[in-house]
Amino acid sequence: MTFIHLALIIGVVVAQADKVQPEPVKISVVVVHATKEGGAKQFDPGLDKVRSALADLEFDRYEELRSVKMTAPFNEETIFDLTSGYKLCVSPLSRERNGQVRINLKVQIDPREPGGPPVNALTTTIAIGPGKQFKLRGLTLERGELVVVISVEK
Amino acid sequence: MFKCRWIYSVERWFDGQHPEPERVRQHVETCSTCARRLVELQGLRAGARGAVKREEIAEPQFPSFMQGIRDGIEAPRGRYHRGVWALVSLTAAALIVAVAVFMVFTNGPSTVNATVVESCSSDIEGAVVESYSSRNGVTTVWLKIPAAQDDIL
Repeated sequence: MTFIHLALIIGVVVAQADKVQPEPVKISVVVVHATKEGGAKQFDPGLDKVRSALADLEFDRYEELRSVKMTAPFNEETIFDLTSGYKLCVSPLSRERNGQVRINLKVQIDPREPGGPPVNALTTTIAIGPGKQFKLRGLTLERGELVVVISVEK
Repeated sequence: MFKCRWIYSVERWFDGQHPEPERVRQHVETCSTCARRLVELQGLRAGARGAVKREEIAEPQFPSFMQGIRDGIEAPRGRYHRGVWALVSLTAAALIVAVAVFMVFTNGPSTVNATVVESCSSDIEGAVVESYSSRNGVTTVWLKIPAAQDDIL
C-alpha cells in the first residue's frame, strides 16, 4: 500500500465522519410573563440568568413561568409547552463550522376548535452560538407579553 | 571409518596456515588417511578453479554488448524521473494527510459569531415580525400584531 492509497483512505474516512449526524442540541428555554404594573423593575429570583436578555424591554414585572433544559435531535421537531395556548417547536437544522447551531423555531397557538390546525404565530430560523441568548417576544398574554429566552448550551 | 587426528593439521597445511609445515608433510608421507585427504583437497581446488571461467566476447556479440553499455548509461535518467514522481506522490500524500488531520482536530474558527436571524415570519394576518440586537448582544425576534388581530392570541 502506497502513501497515496493511505491518504485516500484517510480522506474518505474524514469525509464520511463529516456526514455523521451531530449530537442532539441541548437547549435552555426560559418562559417569562412580562407585564406593566407601574413601579420599579421586579424580576422573579429564577430569572437572574436571563435578566440581561430582558433589560431592553419596557415592562417592569417579570414572572418566571417555566424554565426547562431540553435535548433536541437534529432534523426532528421537538415540541415544548410554553404556557396555556402556546407551544414552542424546535428543529435543529445543522451545526456550523464556527460552532453555531442553525435552529428553526415556531411558536404555535393551539387551535380554537378541537381538531383544527394550529396557527404559526411566529416562525424563525436562527444561527446561534453556544452560550448566547436569544429571545422571542410580542406574544400577547394576560395584560402583558409572553417572552421566551432561548440559549444553546456549550 | 578411521579418521587421523592429524587431518585438521593437514587441511591447515594445505591452506598454507600451519606453523610447522615440514612436520605435517612428513606425516602425510607416512599416513594413508591424510594422503587421501590431501588428494581430495587438491581435487576440490582444481574443480573450483575450473568453475571460474572468464567470459569472452566474440565478434558477433560485440554490438549487443555495446548496446547494453549504452542502456546502462542512459538508465540513471529513468531512475531520476522515477525519483521525481516518488517525491511528488509523497508530497501529495503528506498534504492530504495534513489536511485530513487538520479537519479532524479543528472545528473551524474558534470565534463564535453573533446570533443571526436568517428568516422570520408569522401566519397571523397583518402581523409584522422584526428582529434586532440589543447593546448586550442579545438578538430578539419581535412579533407585532395589529390591534384588530389581537384577539386571535
